[in-house]
Amino acid sequence: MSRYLLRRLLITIPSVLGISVVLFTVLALAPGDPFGELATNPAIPPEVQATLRLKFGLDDPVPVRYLHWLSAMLHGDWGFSFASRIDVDRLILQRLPVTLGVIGASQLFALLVALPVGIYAATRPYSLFDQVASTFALIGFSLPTFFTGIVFILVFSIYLNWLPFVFRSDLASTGFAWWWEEFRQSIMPVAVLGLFQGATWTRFVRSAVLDVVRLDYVTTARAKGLTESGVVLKHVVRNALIPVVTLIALQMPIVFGGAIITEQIFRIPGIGSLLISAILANDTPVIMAVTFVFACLVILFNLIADLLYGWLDPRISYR
Amino acid sequence: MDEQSLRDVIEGVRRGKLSRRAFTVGMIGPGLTAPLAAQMLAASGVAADQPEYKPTKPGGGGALRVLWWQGPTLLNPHFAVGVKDQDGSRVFYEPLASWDPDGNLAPVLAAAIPSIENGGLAKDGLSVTWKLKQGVKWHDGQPFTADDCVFNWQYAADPATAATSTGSYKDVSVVKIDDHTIRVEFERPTPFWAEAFVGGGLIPKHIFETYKGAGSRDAPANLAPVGTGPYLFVAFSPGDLVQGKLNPNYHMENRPYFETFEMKGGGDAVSAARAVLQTGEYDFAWNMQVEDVVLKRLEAGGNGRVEITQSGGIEHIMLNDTDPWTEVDGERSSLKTRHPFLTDPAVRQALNLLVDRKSVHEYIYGRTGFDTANFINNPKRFTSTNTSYEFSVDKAARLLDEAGWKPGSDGVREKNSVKLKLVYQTSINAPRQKNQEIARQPVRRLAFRSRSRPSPPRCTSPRTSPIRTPTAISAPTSRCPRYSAARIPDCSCGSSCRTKPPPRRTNGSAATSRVGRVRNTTSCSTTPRANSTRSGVRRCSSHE
Repeated sequence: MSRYLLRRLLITIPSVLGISVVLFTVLALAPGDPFGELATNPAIPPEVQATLRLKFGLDDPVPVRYLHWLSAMLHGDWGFSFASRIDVDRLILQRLPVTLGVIGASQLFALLVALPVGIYAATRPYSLFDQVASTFALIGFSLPTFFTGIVFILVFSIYLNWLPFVFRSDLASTGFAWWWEEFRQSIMPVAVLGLFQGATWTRFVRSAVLDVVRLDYVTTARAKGLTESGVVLKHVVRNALIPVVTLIALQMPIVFGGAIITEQIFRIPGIGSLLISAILANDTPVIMAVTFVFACLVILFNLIADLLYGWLDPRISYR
Repeated sequence: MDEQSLRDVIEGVRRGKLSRRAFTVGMIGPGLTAPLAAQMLAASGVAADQPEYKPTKPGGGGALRVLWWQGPTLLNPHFAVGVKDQDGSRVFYEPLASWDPDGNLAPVLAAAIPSIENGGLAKDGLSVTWKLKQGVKWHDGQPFTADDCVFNWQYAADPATAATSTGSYKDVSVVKIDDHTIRVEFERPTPFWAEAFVGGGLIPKHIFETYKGAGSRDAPANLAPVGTGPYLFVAFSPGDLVQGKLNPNYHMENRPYFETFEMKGGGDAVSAARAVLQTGEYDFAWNMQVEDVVLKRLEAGGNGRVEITQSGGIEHIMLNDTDPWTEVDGERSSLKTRHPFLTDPAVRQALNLLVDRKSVHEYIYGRTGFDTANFINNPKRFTSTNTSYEFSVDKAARLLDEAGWKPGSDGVREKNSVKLKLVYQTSINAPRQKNQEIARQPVRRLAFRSRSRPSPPRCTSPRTSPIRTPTAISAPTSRCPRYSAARIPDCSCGSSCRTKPPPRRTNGSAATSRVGRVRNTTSCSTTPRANSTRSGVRRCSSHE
């Protein structure tokens, strides 16, 4: 197991390097200039722009800039934001907790929806419940988050006026009131992301359970006289969830992608909205760092999925 | 006089085109009484001149929450890249003087505005002497003195600091006369002397002294300002939130009005308007680049109103004088080239006749802009009344015919085998793209060929003033998007490829519209920045 873990960790290094090369090249080749806006301001002489470019090393050739970036990264220096003139790692650390909180909560929410619905639907295939659940699942993962987000805002904030749609990071209240406020402002973004994810997972769970429920050992378990709930929860679900775990981990990139849009819609100060504002400002070090963080998170979740897989299914051995 | 024309007249008063007195006199003509005329104005939201509100104590206004959909990303006024950063830092830092809505200088940290009468301005135009206000303290209790002003000059003028304000400071020298007097000296007589120390805030010497030059980016105070402004710094997260609280030692008596200040960033203009006009989560939002139809719909709920401030900015099409299709020294639109036909006065005049400014105004900008032939539209006293514009396809056709631009075999006008083919570039932005459509139709009818090309909005602050000084634009870089003919300038492209002053070609001066929720007790006075009558931070100081 530890040897397997070590090997997997070693494999991550080249893939992370590869990702960084691709990201850096794409960003370097993309048009746009972080100080472009200065050129349109008559009060600022062109020398200022030139000085800034020189100062941030923007005039070096791309491979040199990549090596600079890489060696700085290895020293723990994530770079320096052109737009905010502070270190990128500070900027990201400021915003990462909110993103992880929202994504984590939405994943939990998605699981809470997907597991019961998927299992119940699979144990009663083609029943009315199954049909309804399948229809909603289809609608759920067909609608993009930017659409559902705006619909939620229109319905719950504007017509019903129940929930705020601007996420505030500075809630003044404390104790229970703080939690309540936090809950109220998080519920829409979490629901938007969670329902999208939950819809996809419901279908995974349903088909995985359906695959297992027909197997002979389930019939044996029933023949032993076990209760139906015992059969489903102990015998069926434990085996059915093994592929689902992998699928959940493989879905992570989509979740992060959805989070970027959702954060922008609800003004959540997470790394997704940081990425968007950085792209608009051509703030390359920030774009680089945020996309890199996303890439690393995806790799990390893949690793976690592989390890969980072995732990859940002892038949799989790591060599 | 039907209802529509009456509404137009009232709108004229609201915009300041027509005085209240002229309106009242005009209404007496059809047989109305003067008080009735005044009521009509009041009902249409044109308030009467109110007596100036004198606050009796600071605070009492509660929390002020404003939404800047492009939030400030830094709080050092010398690094401000766009209006958002200037606005964010202006809460904490103050200049010696700033511009009021009518384009007059108003003292902030200065004791008085220098003039020839008070001896502040040298008769030879070579220097300005500023008297500083006494008793002003930085937020940490240190006194504000002439040394701070001299330091701001040294800081910004040092190229290694890479300050964006360096243009205002690098060609002057600043001398300390005594603790509360400085003299700004110019190399040559300078009629516009109000540039250094005006508009952008001043930073304290004792905090930033060790961070001058190359070390400027390491100053911790870049993120935690210590200024002289009405609000003390509480918290800042770049692009998301600026928080301040009332400065009890503020140098202006009985100010500020609000106890806490919060500026939230992120999202987009339409949802920012919603957050103020529909849900009331925020008190005020700025820079509503939203079509008037949408604003009117949001306003219909009655929770707030749109406040339109006319600014100096105009939406205009610029014509390229240089040839973008020929590269010289690896540079497109090089200053050494000449455009094959846009330098022909007949073509320029014809294009000027083909922009339907009235439709642009009516169908796109509505209340948020008006059609004009002027480059300078505000303050009103600088606006020319002698200019006019015309929209006439026939006249344009005649002009082109006379100049020898005749339709060729493929239907495109040409002369000496030069074809009138234009690329019209604008940013991806609903009003601007509609504007593009309106401008393109008559051009097509006249057998020009025009292609439109949108470019992504690549700006942190789209409302940087589109008026540019004619010579300040540097040569284009190779990254500048291709275009050959007309382009609506905006801040999206790094450099605008224009070197000569463009012809008068304005289609509708857009005022900056903002959204403000009506608060029962307050109305806000505006404190504008230099170069524009667009107001930035609104410091609230009067009662309604």
